[in-house]
Amino acid sequence: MPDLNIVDWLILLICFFLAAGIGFTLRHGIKTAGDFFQAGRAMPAWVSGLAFLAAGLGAQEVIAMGAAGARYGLRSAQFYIMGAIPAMLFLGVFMMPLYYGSKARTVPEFLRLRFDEKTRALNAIFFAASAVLGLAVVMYATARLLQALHVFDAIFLFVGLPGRWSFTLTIAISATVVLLYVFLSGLMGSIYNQVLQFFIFAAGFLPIVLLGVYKIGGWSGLMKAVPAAYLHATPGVGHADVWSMGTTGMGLVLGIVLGSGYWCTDFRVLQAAMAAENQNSARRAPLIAAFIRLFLPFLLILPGLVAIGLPTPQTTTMTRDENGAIYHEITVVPREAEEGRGLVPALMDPAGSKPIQVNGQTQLNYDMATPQLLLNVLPTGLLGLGLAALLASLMAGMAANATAFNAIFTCDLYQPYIHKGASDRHYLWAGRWATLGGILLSVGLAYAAFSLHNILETLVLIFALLNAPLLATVLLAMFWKRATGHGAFAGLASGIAVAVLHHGLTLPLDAQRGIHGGWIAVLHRYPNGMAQSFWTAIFAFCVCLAITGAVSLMTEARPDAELVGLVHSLTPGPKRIKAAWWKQPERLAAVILVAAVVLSFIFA
Amino acid sequence: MDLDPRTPLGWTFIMIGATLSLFGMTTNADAHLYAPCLGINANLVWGFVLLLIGMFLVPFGHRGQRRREKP
Repeated sequence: MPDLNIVDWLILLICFFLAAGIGFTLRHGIKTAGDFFQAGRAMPAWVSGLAFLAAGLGAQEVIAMGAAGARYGLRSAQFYIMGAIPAMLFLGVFMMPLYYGSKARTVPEFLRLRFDEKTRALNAIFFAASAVLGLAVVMYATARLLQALHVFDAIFLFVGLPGRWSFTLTIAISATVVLLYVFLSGLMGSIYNQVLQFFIFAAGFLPIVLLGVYKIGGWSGLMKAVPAAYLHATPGVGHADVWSMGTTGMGLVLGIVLGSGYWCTDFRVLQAAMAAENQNSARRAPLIAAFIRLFLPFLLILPGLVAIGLPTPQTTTMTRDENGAIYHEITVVPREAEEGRGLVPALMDPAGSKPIQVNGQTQLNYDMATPQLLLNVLPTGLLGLGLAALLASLMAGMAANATAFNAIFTCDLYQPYIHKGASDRHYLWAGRWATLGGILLSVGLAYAAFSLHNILETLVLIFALLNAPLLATVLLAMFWKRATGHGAFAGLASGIAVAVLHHGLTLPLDAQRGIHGGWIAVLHRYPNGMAQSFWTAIFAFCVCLAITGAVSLMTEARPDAELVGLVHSLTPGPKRIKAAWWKQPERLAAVILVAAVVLSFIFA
Repeated sequence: MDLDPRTPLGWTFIMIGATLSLFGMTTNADAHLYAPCLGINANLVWGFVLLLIGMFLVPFGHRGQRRREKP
């Protein structure tokens, strides 16, 4: 059990108090639905950029990238950088002028402007469902994490309740804090909190990395402690065994497709950029995020590597002789820690009695890599800050899902189909109640999420099912003026259907039939869930592209005049401004691209 | 709403930094407490760093807020 004392609790309280306090302070500025759903389109570029980045820093990044670092080594950095940076640059330079210039409040609304109502409705329904699911997964991750760390056990022991209640308490606290500031101040409260949470995350994780690397003996100690293949980002592209992600060099291409789908079309992150004060700021937001993201593998992936490299804890007995009396001091280590590797514990069966084994190999609970390092290197005091950092990143992800859900539910489903023509104030309150409804629904789903073992694979699967076909639709919408509403609808529906079908017919080697796939029949087995998700995405993307193209060519396109501001080739380019290079999106993007290439060479 | 994010951010760092620094100063001789980080008084060092960052951010936040409030 971690030794939390009053200083740790004080730091946690400061962070919670500030998160809720920002919501209370900003509520006076929320007077219209535009303020609530779009933060009044008044955010400076750096605020939008940091919020854009923090929105993606939920469970899927902080916990799962640490898990990926422990499982795959530095090669995870390649997926992390190459799967996102090019897409973020493309978004900032080419796509954001159309998203922002169209004045659409959401991505489905952009699809309505570009195509038609049915395409908007299809996208809105699936996205709203995925936002609630995403919120549930993030909430579940927070609760399981704190339950596994036994952070609240002392409180329950004090009041005489069993420790398992900590799952419920964690869900209640995280949901209440996020609900409070999103309900009161909408996207503005969420963005301000995401900025704050990003800095708390950095302040809490930097000491974990520095002390972890110091404890393992510096960089040279790390190199000795982990297998050599763990320390290279690109070990023999094209050879599936070397990658151990179960993908060949195609994995890189597929990773880019997945990453692009998320960063270019997912409203959870886009909403922060779309709330910028002007088009230049909106374009620079993803670029600023991309620049900072270049350095995040040091904070996210390195802890996983250090955790797997440190010695595995063992039960020890120390005997000492004191004035003729012999004392035995036994330090008992839980079985999952002893059976694990480094600080990464073994994955135990549901009863918690023995480790799960597949083909004679003990399965590891990689999601615990970063949290275990946190507990093992931080002293009391900094431990509170480390936990606050973990909670801050998870709450930033929760808030992004909550605001995306309330905007899409209200603007794309409630306003056009359920209650047309109401007052602005009515929609403002509809958004607030949608936040409450979405969070309550997610709490229920979080309890149903117990069977998920690897958070990253589950989230990648959700994105593969929904984002990959949506990426094809949005790319055709923006860059092919011949694309039609009928084509987009048919393509999007087919892409999602193929993704679901592929998931139902394939299964990772180490998984049981069910949520991990094969629920129709098992026609093919992939080496792991990551490979399965990659191929789900590429099939969905290609089918959506092909069907949209074919149906569009058979149906009548809209006149060019109606597509100005929505299609790249028909829209005048943004005005060039005379300013420093970092205020010019094209130049800033070029510098970041060069930096990404240089970093890739350093890690290769 | 004219709230510059650097103001709450700066105050957060000042509060956390001061808490950690004070705790680090009062526990400087506690070898058991700092055993996980091999004897380094990480609370004092990191608390001081956060305190400095906070004190640097707050004036920038106030200046930014004044700029936003100008008509």
